[in-house]
Amino acid sequence: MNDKSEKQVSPEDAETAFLMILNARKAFHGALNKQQSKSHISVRQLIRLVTGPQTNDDQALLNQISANFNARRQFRAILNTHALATHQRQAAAASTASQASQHRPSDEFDLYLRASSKDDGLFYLQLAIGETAETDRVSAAEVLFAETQGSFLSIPLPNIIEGLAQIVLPKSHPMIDAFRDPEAEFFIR
Amino acid sequence: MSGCEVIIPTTRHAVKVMSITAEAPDIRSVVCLNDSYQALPISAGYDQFVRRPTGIIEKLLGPSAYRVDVSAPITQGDSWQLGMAIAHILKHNNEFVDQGGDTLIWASGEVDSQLRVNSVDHIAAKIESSREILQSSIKNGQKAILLIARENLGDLPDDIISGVTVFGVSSLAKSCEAIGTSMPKQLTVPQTSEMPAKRGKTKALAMLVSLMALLGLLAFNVPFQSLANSYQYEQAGQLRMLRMEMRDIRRQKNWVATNALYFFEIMYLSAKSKKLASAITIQLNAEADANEQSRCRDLNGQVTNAGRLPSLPNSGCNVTFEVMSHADDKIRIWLAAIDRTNANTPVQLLKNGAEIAPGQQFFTPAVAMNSSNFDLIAAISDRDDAAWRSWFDNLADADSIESADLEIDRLTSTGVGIFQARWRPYRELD
Repeated sequence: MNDKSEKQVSPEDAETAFLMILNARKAFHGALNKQQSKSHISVRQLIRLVTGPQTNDDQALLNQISANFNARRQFRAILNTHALATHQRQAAAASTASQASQHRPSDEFDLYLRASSKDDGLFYLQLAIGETAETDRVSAAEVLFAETQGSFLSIPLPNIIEGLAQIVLPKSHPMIDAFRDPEAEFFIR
Repeated sequence: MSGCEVIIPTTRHAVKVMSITAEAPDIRSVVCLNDSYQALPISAGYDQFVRRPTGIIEKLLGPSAYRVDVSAPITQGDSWQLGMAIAHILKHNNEFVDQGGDTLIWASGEVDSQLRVNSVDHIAAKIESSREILQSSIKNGQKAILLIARENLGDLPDDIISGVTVFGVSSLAKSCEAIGTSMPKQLTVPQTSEMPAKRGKTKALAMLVSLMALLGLLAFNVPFQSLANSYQYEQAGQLRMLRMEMRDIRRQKNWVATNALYFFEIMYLSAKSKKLASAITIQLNAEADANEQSRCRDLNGQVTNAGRLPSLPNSGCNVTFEVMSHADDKIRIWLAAIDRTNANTPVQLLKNGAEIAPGQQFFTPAVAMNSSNFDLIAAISDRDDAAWRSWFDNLADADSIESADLEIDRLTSTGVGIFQARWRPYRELD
């Protein structure tokens, strides 16, 4: 044993060092947890988004889902299960038809996009329930979801009156881009 | 008059009408907050205020859909109706401006279907919220006119703004008169309640007048246009549109309209459906079979509509159906044969369609009968089947009585004939 080479460490210094290590470790885990909580989206959140009331944070969460492959897959499955009706992507031929930019037909509900006569960039997006759909069930719809270009969008629906709901949108609204995307799919719940 | 600006007051704001734009008829009328692309909560009520049969604006001015941009939110109530109606009439008469007009019209009241102006609440609070804009308007040399229902005159505050001219009005026509614009004449509804009563009329004359008023009331309430539309949709084979038109009439909740529709359905559509159903005969032809030749052939005979027939042998008889038309015109028939052995999962054995002229017949392909529970359904129409084919397909696929009844109702209520027959095994009683 060489007593000269070892420096005597006071208990105070040891305690300080220990506390420093503890603090560093705590900070490290804190940073890790923060990172995890940012990227993790629980199934409960996904279900709440589909079935629960609309909140102001929904689009932020939808953006988060859109950026996460697993969450997107799970969310799509939940939407398919809970949706009152779905509107599948359009046939390729329909996208080139002259009326395709104004009308998207499907079995359960049709979508129409019409520009205001004032020509100031205001559009009317109309959702019309199909005659063969179960009107009472589909009329209870409150939210329109769209999946386009790998992203999810949602917009609250007004009451469906006489089989039709109409939403006013500015021309820059992403839902209008979704309407014009033949690959887009729509869901109502 | 160089132009009128219109203010619709709320208890919070003096809301100015900024613009009125006629839209395509497919659009639901909407009230938007100016420069925000935000539809206001009163939009649904405004659409009803505009569109026939409940609305008055379409009756007065023609177009059935508008977009109105306003300067501040209007969230509830119906007191916006008078201001909105006045703005529409001014726009129609090219007297509406959103700024720089020589007159400012402040209007609050409800307008009913007879174009009467009815009283509303909170008149004093609305005047208070508009005090600044009214004072500024008078200061700038504008003529300021307050339009309210005659019954609301007592609700005016004592310190009413000086320089403001107040009119208590009973009708939209009186409102137009007050502001010096012309009421659209082509569709002006006569105010029967303001007809002067004359003394000395005989009882017979009074009864005659009452009868004429009653007939006039009936005539006014019968939805001639909607019934004409329904008839045209049926003639054109647009059966989905026909159902939507009939649904709209029912939703009017108008006793006369409902009964007029009832007679249209019973006397025309339902009668037509029954006539078409009885305009065909279906003959069942079992082909000879090597083993049970006689037994299969014993089945041959005419199928009865809505009939329940004795069980067919489930031993593989090959059966065809011969359909003969006795209709006056060419008809389109779709026919399906369904195996109901398992009630929850019907199996479609045959689905066949044809268009046949009067006196012609067609034969379905042969189908092997391996079930004693068997349904035959046929739908018959003289209209194109594009409109009703999907209902027939749903009926053939129906796995419950409720869903089948729904499709049958869709078909028969639009004049499509339904022919049904069921074969079920007889059950012996102990």
